[in-house]
Amino acid sequence: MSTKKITLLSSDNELFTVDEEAANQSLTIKHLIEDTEPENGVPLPQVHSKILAKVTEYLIKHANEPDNDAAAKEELKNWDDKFLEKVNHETLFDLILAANYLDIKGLLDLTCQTVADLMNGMSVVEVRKLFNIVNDFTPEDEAEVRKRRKRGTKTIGPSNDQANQSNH
Amino acid sequence: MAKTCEANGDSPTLVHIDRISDLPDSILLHILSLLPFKSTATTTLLSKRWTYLFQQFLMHTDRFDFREVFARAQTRQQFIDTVNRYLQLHNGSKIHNFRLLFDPDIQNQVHADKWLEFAIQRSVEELDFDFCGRTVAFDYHLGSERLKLPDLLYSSDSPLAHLKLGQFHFNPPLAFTGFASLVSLYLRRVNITDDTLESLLMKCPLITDLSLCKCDDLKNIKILGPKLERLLMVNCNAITNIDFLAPNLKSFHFHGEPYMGYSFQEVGALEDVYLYTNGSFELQQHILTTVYVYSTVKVLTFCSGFLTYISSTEEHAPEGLPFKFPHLQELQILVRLPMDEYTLDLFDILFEHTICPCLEKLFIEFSARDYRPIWQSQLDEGEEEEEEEEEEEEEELATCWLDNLKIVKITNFRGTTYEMRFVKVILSKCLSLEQMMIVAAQNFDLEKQMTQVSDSSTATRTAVGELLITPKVSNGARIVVCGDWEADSKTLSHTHANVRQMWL
Repeated sequence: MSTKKITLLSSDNELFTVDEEAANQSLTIKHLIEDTEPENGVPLPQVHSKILAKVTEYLIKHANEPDNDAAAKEELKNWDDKFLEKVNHETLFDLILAANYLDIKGLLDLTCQTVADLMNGMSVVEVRKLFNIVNDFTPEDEAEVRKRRKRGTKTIGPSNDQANQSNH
Repeated sequence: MAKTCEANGDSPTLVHIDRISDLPDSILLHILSLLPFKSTATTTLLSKRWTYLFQQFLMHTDRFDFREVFARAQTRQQFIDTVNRYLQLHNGSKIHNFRLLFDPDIQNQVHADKWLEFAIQRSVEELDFDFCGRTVAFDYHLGSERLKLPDLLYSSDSPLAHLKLGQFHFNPPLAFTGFASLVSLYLRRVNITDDTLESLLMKCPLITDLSLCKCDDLKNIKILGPKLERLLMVNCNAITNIDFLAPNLKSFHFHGEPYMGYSFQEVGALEDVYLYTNGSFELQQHILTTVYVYSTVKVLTFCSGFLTYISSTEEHAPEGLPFKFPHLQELQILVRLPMDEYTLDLFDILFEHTICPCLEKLFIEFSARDYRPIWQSQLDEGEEEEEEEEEEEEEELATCWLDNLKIVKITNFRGTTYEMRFVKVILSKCLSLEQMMIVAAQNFDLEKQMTQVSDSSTATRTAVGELLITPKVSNGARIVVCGDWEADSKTLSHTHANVRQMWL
């Protein structure tokens, strides 16, 4: 197993050091290393140290994903839940953008699922309030959309469909 | 979309920013795909950006789910319009699954054709097309009308892996060559003849799961398939004979009137059997004999009809006893008789004439029907003698059956005299018992019982109080008593615990 260390440089010039194996989960970092072998750390000008700290925490924990060990998988899942438990929306969206930019599939799936879970079961008004989404329909627009959507479909549904969705 | 800032009057540093709508389309579409379909549809009302996103989502999604949650609040016409509009927006050439639940009405044929064609033309792999009604209420005034399936469904290069149909005629054209990729087939209220079913099974070489529910045209059927592992039959009550030619069949779940004829010509290692039979006792014998013919069964559920059957065998053909279940690990008994002297005797006979050396878990579900329960006080009136006799019988009860039981769970418990006697027998015989869980029936006042237990000054003997002081032979045994609303949260449940909900 490789023990080569990789240094990452955040947008505010903080350095983070991780094993190469952990870093390689980010396809963006992987390609940057292959292409340039940067001496003073891999520059990540789009990621602030506050977010990069969180990202490296994830990368280190997920560096050796268990294949068949059910107990270890369960432990990792619990860790994932805890990892985002106390994160505020601001950080959550920053993490999504960072995971997208750094191309870390696991982290992107995890953060997007968290957002979906937040929305599920909420009414339109509640979701708007939760994420500060401004209703920019003119009254005419809204009447039109509602007419097409029909009545009685205001809730962002009960979660009993989720099992079917998450199978895939 | 521009950032929408809304200054907070009190603290100008706090600005509410709509971060989510600023995320790139690709990420938001990913989030939409993680929501249940109906929830996804609702996001269209959030703002203009989300209306646009939902249209993008519809263009590319490979899953459609127009079932209960989606359809419940809409009238028929609204439902039809919405489905048509969504499908019209779709731009992809491939969909993975398509699920739809709609009302049985022959006038829906034209829509059924169109929607099925949509799915099949996009090489759907999982098709759930149920016209048995959106709500339970619809189920009651179902006509016998069945819709026709378009010939396109039977096309030769179909990648269909899972097919579920409700309220159709299944009548393929002569040229039909089978579904080469089909793994599971579920037919509910489908008109299909014996010959068509047989030829269909022969033409689907990969099929592992077959479910037949209320298919009233079936009479004398052959269950065959080299890979068939699971068979579910629910209320196909016109069937009189089944021939099994399924060497890999592991699971057989049956609900309904038992049939006269069975022929197990070729059945491999049945491990999981669930039998819930109605009808006359004579008929039940035939299906119930199938249980002990298979010594490989590990998980088994039967109802009290089997107890009656053993009792009758004891009387008329004792040479056939005992029944052996050498591998049985989990047994569930659904008691549909009132718990009285007779039923208690039936249990004694069961314990005496069956051999289950590996049995570790026993689940007893008392009847949920409110038979007039028999309480101790009623028996006390002038039945002292009989009571003594009863105790003697208990002493004689064969016990080897119960030696290895670790877990016993009793549901629908109401604390009647005979239920209490049953529990006491178990506690006094099960040497290895680790846990007994007793789940109170819905109308059983557990709270009252509990408060009386904790109040030691009360002389009232409650059923629960009595249970907790009942002598037991296994020192380590824990007794848990809980209400039916708590039972789900406790982990102890039979493999078949949810079987009935799944298909009823």
